Amino acid sequence: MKQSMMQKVNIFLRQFSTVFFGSRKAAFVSSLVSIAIAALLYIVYLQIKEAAHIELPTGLVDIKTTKSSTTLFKASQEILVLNSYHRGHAWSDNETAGILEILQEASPNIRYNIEYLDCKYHPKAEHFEAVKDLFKLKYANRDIPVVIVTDNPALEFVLKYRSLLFPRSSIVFCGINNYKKEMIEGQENITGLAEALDAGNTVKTALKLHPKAREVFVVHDYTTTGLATRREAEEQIKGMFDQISFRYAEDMTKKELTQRLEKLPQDSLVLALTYNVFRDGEVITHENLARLLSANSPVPVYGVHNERLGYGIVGGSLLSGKLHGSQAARIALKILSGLPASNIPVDMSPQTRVMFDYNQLVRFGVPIKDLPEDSVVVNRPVSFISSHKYLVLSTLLVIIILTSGIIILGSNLYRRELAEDALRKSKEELEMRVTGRTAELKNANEQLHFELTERKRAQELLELSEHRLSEAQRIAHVGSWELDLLKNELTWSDEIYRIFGLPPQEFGATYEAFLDAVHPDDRDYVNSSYTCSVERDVPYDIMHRIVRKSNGEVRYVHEKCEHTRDASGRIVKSVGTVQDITELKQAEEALRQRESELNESQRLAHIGSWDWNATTDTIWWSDEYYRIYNLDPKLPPPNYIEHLKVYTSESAARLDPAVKRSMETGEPYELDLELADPSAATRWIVARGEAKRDASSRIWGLRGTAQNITERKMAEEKIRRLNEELEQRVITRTADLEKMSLELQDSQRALMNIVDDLNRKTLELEDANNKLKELDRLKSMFIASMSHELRTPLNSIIGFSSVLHDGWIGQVNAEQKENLATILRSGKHLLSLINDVIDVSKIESGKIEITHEDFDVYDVVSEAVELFKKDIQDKGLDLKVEPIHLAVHTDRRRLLQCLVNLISNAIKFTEKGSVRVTAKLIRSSEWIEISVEDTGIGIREEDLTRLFRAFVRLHSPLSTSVKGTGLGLSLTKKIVTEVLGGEISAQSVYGKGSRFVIRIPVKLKVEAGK
Amino acid sequence: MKRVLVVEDNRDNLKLVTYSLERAGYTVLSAETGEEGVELAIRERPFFILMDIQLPGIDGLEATRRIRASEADGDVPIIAITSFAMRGDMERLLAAGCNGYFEKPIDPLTIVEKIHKVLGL
Repeated sequence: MKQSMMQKVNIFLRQFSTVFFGSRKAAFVSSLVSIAIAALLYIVYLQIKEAAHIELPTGLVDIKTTKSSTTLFKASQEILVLNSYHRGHAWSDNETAGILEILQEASPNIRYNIEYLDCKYHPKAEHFEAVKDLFKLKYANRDIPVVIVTDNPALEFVLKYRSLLFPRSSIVFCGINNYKKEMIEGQENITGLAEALDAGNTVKTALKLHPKAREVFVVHDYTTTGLATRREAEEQIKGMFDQISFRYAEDMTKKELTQRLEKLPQDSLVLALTYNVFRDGEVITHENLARLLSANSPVPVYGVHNERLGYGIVGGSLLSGKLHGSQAARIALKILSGLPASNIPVDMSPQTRVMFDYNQLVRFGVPIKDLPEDSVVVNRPVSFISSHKYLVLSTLLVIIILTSGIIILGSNLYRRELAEDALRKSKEELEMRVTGRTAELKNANEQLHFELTERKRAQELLELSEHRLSEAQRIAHVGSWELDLLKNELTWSDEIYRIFGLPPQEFGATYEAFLDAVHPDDRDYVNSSYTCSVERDVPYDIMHRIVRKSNGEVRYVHEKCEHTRDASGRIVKSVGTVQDITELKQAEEALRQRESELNESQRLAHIGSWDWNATTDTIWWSDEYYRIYNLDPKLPPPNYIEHLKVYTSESAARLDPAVKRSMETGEPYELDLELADPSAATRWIVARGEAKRDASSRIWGLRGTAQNITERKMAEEKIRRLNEELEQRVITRTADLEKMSLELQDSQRALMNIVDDLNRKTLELEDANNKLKELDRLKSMFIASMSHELRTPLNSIIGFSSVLHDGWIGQVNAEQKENLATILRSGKHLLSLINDVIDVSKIESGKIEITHEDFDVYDVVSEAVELFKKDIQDKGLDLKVEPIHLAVHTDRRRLLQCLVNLISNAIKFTEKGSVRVTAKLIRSSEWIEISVEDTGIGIREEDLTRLFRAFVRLHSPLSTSVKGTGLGLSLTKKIVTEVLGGEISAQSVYGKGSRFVIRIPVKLKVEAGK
Repeated sequence: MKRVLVVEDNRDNLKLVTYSLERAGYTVLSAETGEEGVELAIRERPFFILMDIQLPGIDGLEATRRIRASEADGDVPIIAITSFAMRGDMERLLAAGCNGYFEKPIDPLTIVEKIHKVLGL
């Protein structure tokens, strides 16, 4: 890096010298200069490198000690350093540093362990216990020969657990505050040094530097250590300073201390003793306390601890942790070398040094010379010249070399300027001469250039005119030719080649070659025309065809020529033109074609056209116009006034003003006009005209068409007539309709009368209906009253007759009893008749109440059967009921009523045998079938159809003896079908028995039976 | 002799019921109106009450309610006698405090047996 830099500098200087000196001498001087600069840079580099090793002043003083006799130590001896506090605690760190420095210097073979008890942050006894356990694990079996303890807690710890942890170790202590002999009483192999602060000397020194001070404010904390240091200080200063009052700080918080410091009087000093903890327990380091005191105190702060120097205290006789450590290490080395610890007395001398902070001295204006001899000043600025002598000298040398270089350069520059002046003068003379010659040359040149330009312009004009001619020929399709009759040499312009479709090189330009290009049919004509023209001097002006050789295309050309004669009047040369008129010919042909097409289309459309030039009053008519007007096409059209005569006078009277208006305003017209042609039938034309305008929009005539519309006119006339007829018919029909309308109105009126009648009838019907409803209501009332009014007395009859019959009231004889039984039987019969009648009428009038219930069919069957128990026993019949439990939802009472009727009938008509009741689910379990079967007399087949009719009693052997209302089955059927929503059927074999079957839905629908 | 109360406005029915009950060994107290029935029921504490529901004045339901309301123990059995028109009113009867009911007509031969059945005798 350095090398390359120097190279660069060298190169630069060489270039520099080449530019400015330009001579060998100068190069030599410049190399000298560059060598000097390089040397200077190297010296600067060395100085800087050296400066990096210069230790900056700090609070730590490096004390070199004489080498101890290392040879005495055995290999691999071990020391344990046990610190009271933590790593980072300045005092502890300094002590440790002191110890290690001495140990490492003494022998690299001494192994050492460093432990920290961390007592600032963990002051509790439990912590000691835990550490003890840990140490026991680590050290109990190691037999470490020497244990160095720093500060009081570590000493306390070691003494407490010595027998357990270090029974055979020697103990060396240092940094012990307030040391007393009692502390190590009864201990063997223990020695060390007490931490004796030097307050007395500090105060003495301070007062010498600040003679005006009258008060010393001593700060310390209220921990055991703090108080111990205060006592120590008090003892040292007792009686030494009569005029000075000492004030001791109370136990304070940081804030309180700060405020207190601010109020200190001018003639006071601050002395800082041990201060670790504030009143509220906040911990502060040595350095931070120094900072705090210095920042807040207006007066100088002195201390007794080395750790605070450099952080704000002015100085003092300072206790040094490092000194303590070093001293302790020395003692330890003595022990390791075999001296028993007990033989080494405890060192009580203060390990202090008088030290100051240069910055603080400056702050309080204390001159260095006033300081005591041997005092150390830190942060003192170091004189640059004294410490960098070589740098300064070499710099001066370089400056001298450079200055001489500049002088040499300056003289060189002056000589150079003189030479340049002379050079400039001769150059000016030369330039003037050159300028004169240049002007002459320039004139000549301009003349030449002008001539050249003129010639060029003439050339260009010629070319332009030739080009224009050629362009004109090309655009007009006109070519020119020249025939030299003497030489038979034909010259064609470019356009002729184009017209003939020949490339110039293919055509050997002779008259014969020209004739060859002419259409074969026209060749003779052309040849004879030209020959005639030359021989008889008639003009040559012909049209003929040519054939293009390249594609056989036929073109039309128009040729003209003139002849030139020699002096003897002989024609020697023909000059002519050829014009391609193919397009013109084609256009003419197309025009002719169009004209004929127009005529044809006019003829087909029956539309003729005309054109009138008002200025000349001439009319032109198309062929069709003549035809339409039935005029002789050979006759020319008349003038305007004459032409009006072709129309009837009425039509002409309409046309004339329309034509005039159109001429004035340009408004087109369209008129239906009738022709006045006495020789033919009526003819109509529609005439349309419009103005013709010239370039300036002036109207100079009209043009238009005429169309034969006779047929249309006739058709229109026919339609008009038809319309008239139709209108007449509509009028007639309208009259008819009006008549009919009147008739209809009459009918409507009649109809309305009928409606009125109907309305009246409806009202009457409504009345009748209301009456019927009233009657129905009365019927219902009758039924209700019958049920009550009839049944109540009947119940009494039945009740009393049964009581009498059973002899409750008194003894009745046989005949009376029989009569009472008749009353009873008749009463019951009557009651059931009434009940049946009421039921029937209720069903018929839809007034029956239906009750929905969930129940078991078996229960209903059982209940019905129960009613007939006595009758069955009396008759000796066999009753079979299948015990089938089926849940249904229907009207229980009505089902019971049906079953009672059927079972009652079965029993009535069965004299012997059995009555059997069965039930089962049918139709996907949605219906239930209950059958009542007997072995009775049966029913004749013909009677089966009448069975369920009201008041029908079948003829049977038992009919006289069996009582019945004739309503039973009829009512049962009504109930089954209309109330329970089911069906009933009967099967019977006459003489064998009958079977009645009821089928009803398992779940009765709410609306069923209504 | 156990006393029973019959509240019935129809004297024929009353007489028939009385025959039946006396034959079964009961002493019959009778009332022809609801008010009278309530008064007798409270005063005489009958063994049971037959209560016609259709009565002049307060009806049998109201009478039953009043009897129930007056009772401390509330255990006198009340059996209602209903007409055909009362069909389906079973719940109303039970709600008013009746223990059971019969439908008219009353059969004097079987009534006592039915009463005993209701009362669980």
